[in-house]
Amino acid sequence: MPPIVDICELTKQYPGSAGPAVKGISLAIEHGEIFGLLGPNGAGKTTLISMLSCLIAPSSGTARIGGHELSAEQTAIKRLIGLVPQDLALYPTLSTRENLVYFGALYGLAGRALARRVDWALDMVRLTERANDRIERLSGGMRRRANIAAGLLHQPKVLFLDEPTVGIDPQSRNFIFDGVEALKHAGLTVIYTTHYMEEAERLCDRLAIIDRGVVIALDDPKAMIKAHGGTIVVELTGDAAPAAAAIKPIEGVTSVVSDGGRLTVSASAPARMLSPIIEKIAGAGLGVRAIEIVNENLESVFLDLTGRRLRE
Amino acid sequence: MLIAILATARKDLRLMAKDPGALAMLFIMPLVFIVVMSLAMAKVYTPSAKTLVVAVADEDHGAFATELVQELKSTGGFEVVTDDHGKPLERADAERLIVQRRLQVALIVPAGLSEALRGVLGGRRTAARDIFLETDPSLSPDVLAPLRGALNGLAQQSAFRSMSSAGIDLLAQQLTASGGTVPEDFTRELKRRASQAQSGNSSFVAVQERMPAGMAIERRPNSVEQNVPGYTLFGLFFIAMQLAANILEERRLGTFRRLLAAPVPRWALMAGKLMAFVTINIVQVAVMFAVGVWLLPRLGSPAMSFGAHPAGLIVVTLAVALAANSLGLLLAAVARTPAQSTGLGLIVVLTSAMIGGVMVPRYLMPPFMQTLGIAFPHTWGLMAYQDVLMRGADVAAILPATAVLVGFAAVFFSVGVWRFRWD
Repeated sequence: MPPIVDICELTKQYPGSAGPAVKGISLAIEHGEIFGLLGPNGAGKTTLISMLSCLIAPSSGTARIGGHELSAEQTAIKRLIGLVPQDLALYPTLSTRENLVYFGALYGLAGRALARRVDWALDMVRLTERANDRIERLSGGMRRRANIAAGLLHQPKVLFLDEPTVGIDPQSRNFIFDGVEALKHAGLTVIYTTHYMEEAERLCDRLAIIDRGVVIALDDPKAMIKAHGGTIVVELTGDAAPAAAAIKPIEGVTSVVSDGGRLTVSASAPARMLSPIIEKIAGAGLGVRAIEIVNENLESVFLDLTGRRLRE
Repeated sequence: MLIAILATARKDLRLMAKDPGALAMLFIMPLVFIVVMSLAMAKVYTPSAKTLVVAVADEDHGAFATELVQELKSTGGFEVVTDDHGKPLERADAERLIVQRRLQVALIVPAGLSEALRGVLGGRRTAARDIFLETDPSLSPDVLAPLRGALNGLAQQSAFRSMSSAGIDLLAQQLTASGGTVPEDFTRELKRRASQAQSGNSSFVAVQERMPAGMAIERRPNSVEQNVPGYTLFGLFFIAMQLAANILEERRLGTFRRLLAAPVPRWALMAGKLMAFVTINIVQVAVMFAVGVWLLPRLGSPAMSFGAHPAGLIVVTLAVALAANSLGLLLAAVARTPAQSTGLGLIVVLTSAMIGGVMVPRYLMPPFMQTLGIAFPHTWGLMAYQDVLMRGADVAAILPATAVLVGFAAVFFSVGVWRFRWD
């Protein structure tokens, strides 16, 4: 079976900006998987989703969703996808039900079919009892859930969730995680953007780490973490380049990145590597200002790949 | 598609219904203007209203004063008062009433003036031939000027009339003194004919008022006919700010992204939105005109009717709604925030309303402002409404003004679509 989303060299250059927001990204996303797009703010995740949702036109490259060509079959693609934007894209003074009825009507739903779908979506996000409350009177977590419900009304095959957990409490976040997993079990393909590594690690079957408009890693999150190990970040008194050269040959070190006075060392067991690394630094005639061990997780993967933290 | 258009219209009507500020701006504000201005300005706009009260202190008690008071009353332009609670006014009374601000103008006819005028026929020169106009110093020259002009003419006319009888007597005396004979019947007949020629409202030259052919009815607007269509137009164009704010708010909330991700063409989304706002315009007109026709007369203001061809009102309303909502689209295209669009919209709408004759009728404006007015949609809207309401115009007659309004809509819409940013 061909991938449900097949992206080839997709690029977006906004007029007047210095460089492209998305640079030649190629991805193949399979039916029924939860595919994560992880990256810092401004990495290009939302631009990529906007192109796939037919909101903005790519500068170059192609994509197919459900077999439909992005540049030529937008109406068919729009019927296949559901978009849950990063903003809380609901009318605050209308009730939850009024919002859902309106968004359902935009997909051609009417009458009893619309009422059934609205009831189903309300139940799906556990908001049936608050259906007649204005959105502005719901808690932040409930609003996020209503935002997701609006993207599910027309039973899409692919759901784009753009940072769905920004600004909500842990309880609502867990509720959303459970909901996303339930959607996966129902056969929906979910493309989930986030800059929270814990979310990506917990939810995603596969993950693309995006930085500055390009995919810098693509794999199962667990395999990705295993391949990159943990990370030691050392702030030095001078240029880190001589120390990096000395550290690289140490057994167990998978990569070393120097950036001015900062050294980022990846290793399978970072705590055990601390002593030999400090010896090499001293041997290079440098002093240590600060040192930090980042255990094996997606943060360490990102550090290893970019020399920067996800939230920098 | 139709489902999406209707759903969008219904959604925007719901949003409007839950926005008290917008409803106040679109309905309460123009209604307050309509009621207050129609009642307050009733006398200014009503041609029969005697806005200036002229008190006459008649110390002459002769033919001249009697003629002058009668002529002044017959003009119909002033309310002439000759007594204070049944007591004939005297100079001191009139001056006191002016000082107390109960009167603005008093006309004093000094004692002996009629006698002095008769003396003129006998060749006696006298200085006592003045009448006095005493005025409140704060009285506008614009108000005083018509009275002054009327008095100048009427005083001469009254003097002539009061002198004619004495002149005939003098002529008879002169002829008799020269040895001639003037039969008494002849003198009497001459006086009767002179009196008949000058009596009542008859004039040697009469002024008749007419209107050009094609302007079928009759009169200038009364305060209701001026203020109801005027401030209705004013309120209709406030929809532009509401539409612009609605669009910009959708962009700010992010709902626009969701709408654009749906399988609905952009034109259909905009059509749904315009349907809602045009519907609001129609309800506005229905409410405002109903107040003008049925409520205001009960409050004591002049009457207004829907005109001989009310269908014309629907045509004008649709054209105005198109222009106003297209202006809203343009505001949404050039402004970045709802506050910006409201500020910009207020400047445009208030300017157009003022120059278009909503607040001050255009016939009172200087010529250059009247010419400038043709560049603003309110001018054409008000003209078309008033043509239907009070000049008996049918749909065909208001098509030119309607076409201009549609032209404004086309320009606003084209520039708006050209400059509009969907993302």
